[in-house]
Order: sequence, then structure tokens, then C-alpha cells
Amino acid sequence: MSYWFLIPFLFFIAIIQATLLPPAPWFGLRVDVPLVLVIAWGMVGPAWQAARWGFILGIFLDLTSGMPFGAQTLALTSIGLALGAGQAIFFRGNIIAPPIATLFGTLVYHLALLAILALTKQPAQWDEVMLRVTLPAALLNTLALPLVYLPLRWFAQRLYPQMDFR
Amino acid sequence: MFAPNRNRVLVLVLLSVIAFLTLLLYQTGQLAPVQDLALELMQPFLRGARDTGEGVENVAGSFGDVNALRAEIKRLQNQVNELTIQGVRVRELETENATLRQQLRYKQTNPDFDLLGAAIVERQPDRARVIGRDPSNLAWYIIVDQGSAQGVKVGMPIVTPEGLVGRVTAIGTNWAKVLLIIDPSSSVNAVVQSTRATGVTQGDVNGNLIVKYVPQGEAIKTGDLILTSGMGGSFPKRLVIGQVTDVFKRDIELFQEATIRPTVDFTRLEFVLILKKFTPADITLEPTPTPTAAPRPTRTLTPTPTQ
Repeated sequence: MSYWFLIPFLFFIAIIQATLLPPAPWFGLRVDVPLVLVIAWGMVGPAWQAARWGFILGIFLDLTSGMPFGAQTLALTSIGLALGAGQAIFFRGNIIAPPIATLFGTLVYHLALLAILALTKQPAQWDEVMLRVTLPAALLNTLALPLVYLPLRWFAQRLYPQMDFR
Repeated sequence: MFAPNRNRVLVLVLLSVIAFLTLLLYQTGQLAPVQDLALELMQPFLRGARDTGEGVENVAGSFGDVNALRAEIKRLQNQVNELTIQGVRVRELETENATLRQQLRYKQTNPDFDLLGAAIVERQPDRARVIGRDPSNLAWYIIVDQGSAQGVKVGMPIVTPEGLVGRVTAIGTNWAKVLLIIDPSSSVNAVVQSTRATGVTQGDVNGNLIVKYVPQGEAIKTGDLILTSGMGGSFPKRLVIGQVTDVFKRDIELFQEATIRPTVDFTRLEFVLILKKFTPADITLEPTPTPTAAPRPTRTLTPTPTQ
């Protein structure tokens, strides 16, 4: 995929996440659209591309975030890398893999951000966050996954017809 | 995109290294100019997205009215459309006018404050209880459109006429990031208005406020107003923070805690005031706190009544 298209697209996603995305009515949390996007592309796109998506999205998110600069970049790139490692063998075509990857991806994402907060000597309430933010967010992201996964899968099938999507 | 394996791994390693480096550079403060420039460039998009969101919201509301009117008086549809749009604009202007008037009165009643108005660039248009979040769901920040060019400095308090909003944690030329008081990493020295009992307010992960470290012997009850104590000099004294909704007191603990309902509605923040200068509290002149001490005047115009 051309970076001329990719970068503005990911920039747009970051802007939406930072300004317009409303919270879900159940948990009062917002869907982590960039995270879900990285996870979904990690499963339907070419191997390792999700890490690049995570890197670019992370930079844009870091600009709008109050957390240490680089935190989002590091967290999303790591998730992209982890998905890249398992993607070719396991994910593509597996119906159970996407929701499971989203649940664990959200967990890893929040753990990574909390770890970075702790390393930069900012207060991080691990147990509270895990219970009251991460678990609901994981559920919410999983529920939102089809809205991102299915269009991306359709897009990937057309963009990379040589790949096996069964 | 389908690069050879060796190159691909190299790129990925490079990306990870860059991610680590940005974090390190941020920690050493070397990244500030780049971050400033990038956010400066990004600001029009943030503002545009916010305005678009508000526009869509307004137009959506207007369409509801127009549909109802179309059913009743079809021939007046165009006129109604126009009037509706004008009405939305007028309402927006009225709201803005009322907010600015309120802020002007606030400035007049606090002549020792040097205030600077600011609009929220990155507003979190949340309608639920948990509000004002960072893109990650883990922190509560907003970005305002005033920065070092307007004399804003890190640490300056942010207020509205309703009470304390937060403080500036990072600045660029024309922007500032504001840590809201409902963020878990925010701590504000506080005092209970009626009894002068002191404590520290902190946010929690769900965007609630808690006042901690109130000594067991001190009286604190539902409905009490919590104000800034001014101790530490970070905030002026007697700014309203919120109202006590629940008190948690256990005999085995040294301190009691209470949850607070903030007087500021963080879901509807549009304009805030940056407190550029204020007279810090002189704790040597403070009267000795007693449980029966008379309430002192607060820095608010309309304290929210107990619910």
C-alpha cells in the first residue's frame, strides 16, 4: 500500500480518535480504534505491515496525548510486531483468532502504556486500571472489531489478491 | 511492501529503535521543538475535526426539527431550514456570550488573578460519566489554543467560573496540554470549606474525584464543599473543586476518604481560563483550623447545590 495513501488515512484515524469519537454508552470508554485497526490489519494484511501501521499511528497519537511522547508509538509498534510474528501461521482465515487477538491486544496495549508510565515515574494504578478500564475496554474493542476487521479484510482481498484468505 | 525478509526485519528493528529513542528523547526534553512543530501543524486539523463534529451535531439536531415541520407545513420547508440554521447560530452565540460574560464577572470578582482565555482545541465530546480522555482511555488531558507565545507556562492553573479544571503540563508556541484534576496522576491540596479539614484530592481511573488523607478526627460530611487550600503554591486558595457525595471512614485507618462530584462539567468544556498570575496562599497568616470555623468566601459565582 502506498504511503501517500496510508499516512493521511492513519492521520485521519488519529484525529478522529482524539476529537470526535464518542464514548460507548455501556462503559463510558471509547473504542481504541487505532489499536483495533493495527490488530485487524495484523491479521488480514501482509505479514509485518501492522508494525508500520502501529508506528505511524503511534506518532500521531503521541502528539495529541498527554502521556510521555513515544508511549503510544512503542505500544502500538510492539503489538504490530507481535501480530506479525504469528500472522502467517495462525491468524489469517481463523474465525476465533481476531476476537482473541483483540482481547489480548488490548491487555498488552494497556500493560505497555502502564509500564511506560511507571518507568517514567508517573503514577500508574495497575490493579484499578486493569479492572475498571482494561477489561471493559478489551470487551468493547472486541465488540467493535467486526466494524473494522470486515472492511479491512475486504480491502486486503482486493489489494493483495495473491494472499490466501480462507 | 513485499520486501525481502532481511530488509523487512531491518525496517522493523529500526522502527522499534526509533520508538525507544523518541521515548528517551522525550524524557530528556530534546523532543520538545519537534513535538511543538508537529502539534502546531496538527492544530488546524484538530480544530477542523472539532468544528465539523459540532456542525454535524447541530445540523443533525436541526434536521429533526425540520422533518417535524415538513410534515406539518410542507410549503415552508426552505424557510424553516434557513431559520433553523440561523437559530442554531444564534443559540451558539448566546451560549458563547453567556460563557464569556460569566468569565468576565469571574475576572472582576477576582482582581488579583491575571487571566487568559483559551478555547479547547482537542475537546472530548463525551456524553457519559467518564470524560476528557486521552486517546488511550488511560489519562485525562485536553489541549487548549494558548501557548508560550501568549505567556502560558507549565504549572499554570486552569479554571472556569465553576471551579478548578486542572493545570498546564506541556506547552508549545500556540498550544498547551492540560492535565485535568480528574486524572489519576493529579493531586491538589484541598480543604473542607465548613470545617477547614485538609486533604488531597486525586482523580481515579474512572474520572471520579476523591479527597484523601483527611485526618480521622476531622468532620467531613456529604454536601461539604471542597476548595483548594493554596498550600504548596501551585493553586490559589479557595477555588471550588467539588462537593462531597460519599464519605468512607474506617476506624482502623489513619485517614478518611470522600468521593467528590466536581463542580466543573468536564463533558462540556469549551472555554477555560488560564491563571497566569495569582497571589499564593500565605500559610503563616492562615487561622488555626477548628471544626466550627465559619465558612469562608469561595472563588466561585454559583456553587452547585447539594443533590
